[in-house]
Amino acid sequence: MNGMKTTLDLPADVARSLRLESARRGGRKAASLTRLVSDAVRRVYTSPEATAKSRLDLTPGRVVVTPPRGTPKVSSENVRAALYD
Amino acid sequence: MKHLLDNDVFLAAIYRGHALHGRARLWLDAAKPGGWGVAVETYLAMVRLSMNPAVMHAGVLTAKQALDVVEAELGGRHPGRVILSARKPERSLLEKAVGHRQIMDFWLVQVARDNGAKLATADAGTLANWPALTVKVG
Repeated sequence: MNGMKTTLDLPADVARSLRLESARRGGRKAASLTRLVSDAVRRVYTSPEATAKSRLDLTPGRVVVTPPRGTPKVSSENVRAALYD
Repeated sequence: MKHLLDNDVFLAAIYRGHALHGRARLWLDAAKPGGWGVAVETYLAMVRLSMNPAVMHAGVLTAKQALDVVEAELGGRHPGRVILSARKPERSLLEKAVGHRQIMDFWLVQVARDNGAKLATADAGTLANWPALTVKVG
Protein backbone atom coordinates (compact mmCIF):
# COMPACT_ATOMS: atom_id res chain seq x y z
CA MET A 1 0.00 0.00 0.00
CA ASN A 2 1.34 3.46 -0.88
CA GLY A 3 0.39 5.27 2.27
CA MET A 4 1.69 6.72 5.50
CA LYS A 5 2.44 4.50 8.43
CA THR A 6 1.71 6.27 11.67
CA THR A 7 0.66 5.77 15.26
CA LEU A 8 -2.53 7.26 16.61
CA ASP A 9 -3.34 7.78 20.28
CA LEU A 10 -7.10 7.36 20.19
CA PRO A 11 -9.47 8.21 23.03
CA ALA A 12 -11.07 5.12 24.56
CA ASP A 13 -14.53 5.88 23.17
CA VAL A 14 -13.18 6.27 19.61
CA ALA A 15 -11.18 3.06 19.88
CA ARG A 16 -14.27 1.26 21.17
CA SER A 17 -16.39 2.62 18.31
CA LEU A 18 -13.82 1.38 15.80
CA ARG A 19 -13.73 -2.07 17.36
CA LEU A 20 -17.51 -2.31 17.37
CA GLU A 21 -17.80 -1.13 13.77
CA SER A 22 -15.11 -3.57 12.67
CA ALA A 23 -16.95 -6.40 14.41
CA ARG A 24 -20.25 -5.28 12.87
CA ARG A 25 -18.71 -5.51 9.40
CA GLY A 26 -17.33 -8.99 9.96
CA GLY A 27 -14.05 -8.49 11.80
CA ARG A 28 -10.59 -7.12 11.15
CA LYS A 29 -10.05 -9.07 7.96
CA ALA A 30 -13.12 -7.56 6.34
CA ALA A 31 -12.89 -4.14 7.96
CA SER A 32 -9.47 -3.34 9.37
CA LEU A 33 -8.95 -0.31 11.57
CA THR A 34 -6.90 1.23 8.75
CA ARG A 35 -9.82 0.86 6.38
CA LEU A 36 -12.36 2.24 8.85
CA VAL A 37 -10.23 5.27 9.70
CA SER A 38 -9.43 5.91 6.02
CA ASP A 39 -13.10 5.74 5.01
CA ALA A 40 -14.10 8.07 7.84
CA VAL A 41 -11.40 10.63 7.03
CA ARG A 42 -12.32 10.59 3.33
CA ARG A 43 -15.96 11.21 4.18
CA VAL A 44 -15.38 13.97 6.71
CA TYR A 45 -12.29 15.84 5.61
CA THR A 46 -12.10 15.58 1.86
CA SER A 47 -13.51 18.81 0.47
CA PRO A 48 -15.61 18.72 -2.70
CA GLU A 49 -13.08 21.02 -4.37
CA ALA A 50 -10.24 18.63 -3.66
CA THR A 51 -12.16 15.59 -4.79
CA ALA A 52 -11.75 14.58 -8.36
CA LYS A 53 -14.98 13.22 -9.75
CA SER A 54 -15.85 10.28 -11.94
CA ARG A 55 -16.66 11.13 -15.54
CA LEU A 56 -20.02 9.81 -16.74
CA ASP A 57 -20.79 8.87 -20.32
CA LEU A 58 -24.53 8.21 -20.21
CA THR A 59 -24.94 6.99 -23.77
CA PRO A 60 -28.12 4.87 -23.58
CA GLY A 61 -27.21 1.21 -23.57
CA ARG A 62 -23.49 1.85 -23.42
CA VAL A 63 -22.68 3.71 -20.23
CA VAL A 64 -19.11 4.18 -19.08
CA VAL A 65 -18.09 5.56 -15.70
CA THR A 66 -14.45 6.65 -15.73
CA PRO A 67 -12.85 7.13 -12.31
CA PRO A 68 -10.54 10.02 -11.50
CA ARG A 69 -6.90 9.55 -12.47
CA GLY A 70 -4.99 7.50 -9.93
CA THR A 71 -8.01 5.65 -8.56
CA PRO A 72 -7.07 2.08 -7.59
CA LYS A 73 -8.59 -0.66 -9.74
CA VAL A 74 -11.42 -2.60 -8.17
CA SER A 75 -11.40 -6.41 -8.38
CA SER A 76 -14.24 -8.89 -8.26
CA GLU A 77 -13.10 -9.75 -4.74
CA ASN A 78 -13.36 -6.08 -3.70
CA VAL A 79 -16.90 -6.01 -5.07
CA ARG A 80 -17.89 -9.12 -3.14
CA ALA A 81 -16.40 -7.74 0.04
CA ALA A 82 -18.25 -4.45 -0.37
CA LEU A 83 -21.57 -6.15 -1.00
CA TYR A 84 -21.53 -9.01 1.39
CA ASP A 85 -19.44 -8.01 4.42
CA MET B 1 -34.21 -12.94 -22.16
CA LYS B 2 -31.08 -15.00 -22.62
CA HIS B 3 -28.76 -13.63 -19.94
CA LEU B 4 -29.14 -12.26 -16.43
CA LEU B 5 -26.07 -10.33 -15.22
CA ASP B 6 -24.68 -10.82 -11.75
CA ASN B 7 -23.66 -7.84 -9.62
CA ASP B 8 -19.97 -7.98 -10.46
CA VAL B 9 -20.44 -8.30 -14.22
CA PHE B 10 -22.93 -5.41 -14.30
CA LEU B 11 -20.49 -3.13 -12.45
CA ALA B 12 -17.52 -4.32 -14.51
CA ALA B 13 -19.29 -3.57 -17.80
CA ILE B 14 -20.04 -0.01 -16.75
CA TYR B 15 -17.10 0.98 -14.56
CA ARG B 16 -13.77 1.55 -16.29
CA GLY B 17 -11.98 1.19 -12.95
CA HIS B 18 -12.95 -2.48 -12.66
CA ALA B 19 -10.24 -5.00 -13.51
CA LEU B 20 -12.66 -6.86 -15.82
CA HIS B 21 -14.08 -3.76 -17.51
CA GLY B 22 -12.79 -4.35 -21.03
CA ARG B 23 -13.88 -7.98 -21.23
CA ALA B 24 -17.21 -7.42 -19.49
CA ARG B 25 -18.07 -4.44 -21.73
CA LEU B 26 -17.28 -6.41 -24.88
CA TRP B 27 -19.25 -9.41 -23.65
CA LEU B 28 -22.32 -7.35 -22.71
CA ASP B 29 -22.36 -5.42 -25.99
CA ALA B 30 -22.30 -8.73 -27.86
CA ALA B 31 -24.91 -10.36 -25.61
CA LYS B 32 -27.47 -7.55 -25.58
CA PRO B 33 -29.18 -8.35 -28.89
CA GLY B 34 -30.06 -11.82 -27.53
CA GLY B 35 -31.96 -10.34 -24.62
CA TRP B 36 -30.59 -9.45 -21.23
CA GLY B 37 -31.56 -8.17 -17.82
CA VAL B 38 -30.73 -7.78 -14.18
CA ALA B 39 -32.55 -8.78 -11.02
CA VAL B 40 -33.86 -5.99 -8.81
CA GLU B 41 -31.18 -7.06 -6.33
CA THR B 42 -28.47 -6.38 -8.93
CA TYR B 43 -30.00 -3.04 -9.88
CA LEU B 44 -29.76 -2.00 -6.23
CA ALA B 45 -26.30 -3.53 -5.80
CA MET B 46 -25.04 -1.37 -8.67
CA VAL B 47 -26.40 1.75 -7.00
CA ARG B 48 -24.88 0.75 -3.66
CA LEU B 49 -21.47 -0.03 -5.18
CA SER B 50 -21.40 3.25 -7.12
CA MET B 51 -21.97 5.16 -3.89
CA ASN B 52 -19.48 3.17 -1.82
CA PRO B 53 -16.13 4.91 -1.19
CA ALA B 54 -14.46 1.56 -0.50
CA VAL B 55 -15.13 0.69 -4.15
CA MET B 56 -15.18 4.04 -5.95
CA HIS B 57 -12.77 5.97 -3.70
CA ALA B 58 -12.83 9.68 -4.61
CA GLY B 59 -15.03 8.95 -7.62
CA VAL B 60 -18.12 7.96 -5.65
CA LEU B 61 -21.41 8.85 -7.29
CA THR B 62 -24.42 10.50 -5.74
CA ALA B 63 -27.64 8.48 -5.57
CA LYS B 64 -29.05 10.46 -8.48
CA GLN B 65 -25.95 9.85 -10.59
CA ALA B 66 -25.93 6.14 -9.74
CA LEU B 67 -29.60 5.81 -10.71
CA ASP B 68 -28.96 7.75 -13.94
CA VAL B 69 -26.12 5.35 -14.76
CA VAL B 70 -28.24 2.24 -14.22
CA GLU B 71 -31.25 3.58 -16.10
CA ALA B 72 -29.12 4.71 -19.04
CA GLU B 73 -27.43 1.31 -19.29
CA LEU B 74 -30.83 -0.39 -19.25
CA GLY B 75 -31.95 1.80 -22.15
CA GLY B 76 -30.67 2.06 -25.68
CA ARG B 77 -31.21 -0.11 -28.72
CA HIS B 78 -31.39 -3.37 -26.76
CA PRO B 79 -33.05 -2.46 -23.45
CA GLY B 80 -32.44 -4.61 -20.41
CA ARG B 81 -35.20 -6.02 -18.26
CA VAL B 82 -35.39 -5.58 -14.49
CA ILE B 83 -36.61 -8.81 -12.97
CA LEU B 84 -38.65 -8.82 -9.78
CA SER B 85 -38.97 -12.47 -8.86
CA ALA B 86 -42.40 -13.67 -7.85
CA ARG B 87 -41.05 -16.95 -6.47
CA LYS B 88 -39.59 -17.86 -3.11
CA PRO B 89 -35.93 -18.82 -2.84
CA GLU B 90 -35.60 -22.53 -3.54
CA ARG B 91 -34.07 -24.61 -0.81
CA SER B 92 -32.56 -27.17 -3.17
CA LEU B 93 -30.39 -24.46 -4.72
CA LEU B 94 -29.50 -22.42 -1.66
CA GLU B 95 -28.54 -25.35 0.54
CA LYS B 96 -25.55 -25.99 -1.72
CA ALA B 97 -24.03 -22.67 -0.61
CA VAL B 98 -20.75 -22.85 1.28
CA GLY B 99 -20.59 -19.59 3.21
CA HIS B 100 -22.83 -16.56 3.35
CA ARG B 101 -21.44 -14.92 0.23
CA GLN B 102 -22.84 -17.63 -2.02
CA ILE B 103 -26.45 -17.16 -0.94
CA MET B 104 -27.01 -14.13 -3.18
CA ASP B 105 -25.05 -15.74 -6.04
CA PHE B 106 -27.23 -18.84 -5.92
CA TRP B 107 -30.39 -16.78 -5.63
CA LEU B 108 -29.44 -15.01 -8.85
CA VAL B 109 -28.90 -18.42 -10.46
CA GLN B 110 -32.49 -19.24 -9.53
CA VAL B 111 -33.83 -15.92 -10.85
CA ALA B 112 -32.03 -16.52 -14.13
CA ARG B 113 -33.32 -20.09 -14.39
CA ASP B 114 -36.90 -19.09 -13.53
CA ASN B 115 -36.80 -16.57 -16.37
CA GLY B 116 -35.37 -18.90 -18.95
CA ALA B 117 -31.94 -17.27 -18.83
CA LYS B 118 -28.39 -18.10 -17.78
CA LEU B 119 -26.54 -16.13 -15.14
CA ALA B 120 -23.58 -14.22 -16.60
CA THR B 121 -20.85 -14.28 -13.98
CA ALA B 122 -17.10 -14.24 -13.49
CA ASP B 123 -17.34 -16.05 -10.18
CA ALA B 124 -15.53 -19.38 -10.29
CA GLY B 125 -17.57 -20.90 -7.47
CA THR B 126 -20.92 -20.11 -9.07
CA LEU B 127 -19.70 -21.34 -12.46
CA ALA B 128 -18.44 -24.59 -10.94
CA ASN B 129 -21.63 -25.24 -8.98
CA TRP B 130 -24.08 -24.43 -11.78
CA PRO B 131 -22.39 -25.09 -15.13
CA ALA B 132 -25.69 -25.61 -16.95
CA LEU B 133 -27.26 -22.43 -15.58
CA THR B 134 -24.34 -20.01 -15.94
CA VAL B 135 -22.11 -18.47 -18.58
CA LYS B 136 -18.58 -17.24 -17.94
CA VAL B 137 -17.65 -13.59 -18.44
CA GLY B 138 -14.02 -12.52 -18.40
